[in-house]
Amino acid sequence: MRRVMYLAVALGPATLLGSGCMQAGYGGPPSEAHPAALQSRQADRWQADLGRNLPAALAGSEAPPPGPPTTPPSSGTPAVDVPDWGVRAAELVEKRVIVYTAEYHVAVANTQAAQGEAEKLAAELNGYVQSITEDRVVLRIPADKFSAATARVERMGQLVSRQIQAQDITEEYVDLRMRLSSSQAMLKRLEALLEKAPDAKQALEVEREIARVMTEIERLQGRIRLLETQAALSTVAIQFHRLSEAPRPALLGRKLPFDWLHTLGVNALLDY
Amino acid sequence: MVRFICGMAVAALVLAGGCTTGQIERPDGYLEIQTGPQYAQRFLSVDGNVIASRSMENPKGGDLDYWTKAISREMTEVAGYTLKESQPIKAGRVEGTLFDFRTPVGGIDHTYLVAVYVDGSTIALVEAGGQSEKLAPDRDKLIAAIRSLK
Repeated sequence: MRRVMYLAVALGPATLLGSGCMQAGYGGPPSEAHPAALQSRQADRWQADLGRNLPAALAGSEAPPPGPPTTPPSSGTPAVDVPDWGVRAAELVEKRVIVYTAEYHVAVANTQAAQGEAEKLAAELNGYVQSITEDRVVLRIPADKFSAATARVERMGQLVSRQIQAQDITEEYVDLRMRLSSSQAMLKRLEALLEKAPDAKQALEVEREIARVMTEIERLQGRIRLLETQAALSTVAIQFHRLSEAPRPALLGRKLPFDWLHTLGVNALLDY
Repeated sequence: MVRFICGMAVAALVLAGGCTTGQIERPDGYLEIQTGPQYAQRFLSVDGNVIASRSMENPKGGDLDYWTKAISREMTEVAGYTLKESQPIKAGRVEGTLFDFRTPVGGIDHTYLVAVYVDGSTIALVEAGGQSEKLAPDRDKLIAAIRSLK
């Protein structure tokens, strides 16, 4: 009965969370050196370990939201190695993680020449041109040169409209880093459990869980890399208009003060 | 009886708080692409059509009528788009407005569909865009995705 209970506790969360996990092979047949009775007792003990560790490990993979830094526990060694999430969050990020984007509409006499000027600007500031489509140029500029870039763009021609956003993604970034850290710790625990697996069937259960955790780690790493790239390189998009066709700049002062409204439109949507 | 009333009160609070997640179903033939912080999801077709979703906090007093007028004004008076049509739309029990705007980009006519939903304290947007000629065959599929908002 206890074995069934531990098996249900172990498999329940794994089944719920384990969509897309890979079928993995098992390490090999159980050792023939152990008598059946001894092996059965070992299997019971291992299963009890799995029942205790797996749900705790799985619960730990969903890191709680980072709170304010707290004093690390000082009284003795905790029974279970649970990291102090507040302190770890503070350690992981020393400063805010901000993504800068700018969207400009600039009226110029010659759009071709203006595009050339934009390309030159990117090169001078150690950035690069992400895309050029017709009269629209999208530049990626190192975040520390963002102000210099926007100042230069505003001098390129007649400013029709400007929209600058600084999006703070610190919370998401810290959360991802902590979830990654937790998943990596869980992977180590699972690998340790796998080594102690008394038979092929239980080894297979752990290997399935390992595969799921590894997929999650890869996903988290990919998302972290994306956010780091977004933060390291700001985006400056410039839509050039010929002076005779430029939209009326007088509308600039009538915009409603909701930033997301000004990001509507095909330009941002199709900028991939 | 008291427990029943309390339960209904909690349910009413949850509904009033807004339960929209800002997620849509992926249309057939569209791949999810990695997206920056602006969009929660973004899907891309081979023809370059994009559909994306996002949500944001609704300031106190904001309702569907307010945001419908705000978006219409922003796109036509500020961004210079042409409004082809707008109509009410619904995603489950959440009411919204669907706009069809047109604008030339580099001399090519582009379609920009945007649906705004207001669900209590949340505004959800679903946007779809692309060259008009390439978007037209996918229009029904995109509108179905816009309606699938959860």
